[in-house]
Amino acid sequence: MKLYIPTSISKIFSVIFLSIFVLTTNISTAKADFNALTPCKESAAFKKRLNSSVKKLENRLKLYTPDSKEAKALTNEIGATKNRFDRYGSTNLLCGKEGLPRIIASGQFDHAAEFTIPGILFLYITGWIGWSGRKYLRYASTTENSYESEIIINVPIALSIMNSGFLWPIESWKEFTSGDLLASEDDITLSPR
Amino acid sequence: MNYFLTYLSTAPILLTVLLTVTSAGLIFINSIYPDPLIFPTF
Repeated sequence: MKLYIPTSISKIFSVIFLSIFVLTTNISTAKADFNALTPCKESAAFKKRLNSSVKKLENRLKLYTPDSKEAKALTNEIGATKNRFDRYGSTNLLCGKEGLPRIIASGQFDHAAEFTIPGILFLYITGWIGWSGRKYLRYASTTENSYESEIIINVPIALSIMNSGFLWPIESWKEFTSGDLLASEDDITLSPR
Repeated sequence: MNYFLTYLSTAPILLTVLLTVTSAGLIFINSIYPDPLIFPTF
């Protein structure tokens, strides 16, 4: 026998249970102190790593004459290694006990450059690509020969769509509020059941 | 010429061009700004 509960009552119960759960659960903010990590510029292991990396390259450099191609490449590599360590040391990066820099992905503002900003940038660029593709497909569906428009791309229109796609968060929100972003239930095909 | 332009506008050719340009751009960025562990905040 199926128990029948009116939807309004079940909604009220859900709200009550959710509020009890939220109010009684002790959720502390995710702000770790990273006691096990030290800033790279203060880390002895980080400096040791720099010295050993440069030493290895200098040992290889001794095998070649100063004018050789290999010597020049190794000299460049030594410079690049020093630059890399300088740059990692001058930023806010934290290093582990072994002297390797760690990326903090907790969303903290002071470590936003390590994960949050690149992550948002990634989502923005992928969204731009997806939005342009969606817009072009919708354009193609309005043309006379829609299948051909998907195989032989109308380049000027595709380029203008790609160029205007940078506003995709605003455009998608507009479409979402106007109900144009999502397909209606009737348009979704279901397998027979 | 028209046929050639149509051929250049086909999806596989455009995809090849787009991926070539994108990878060239990424390689170029990596050569002028190597080892990017974090986003530069300047």
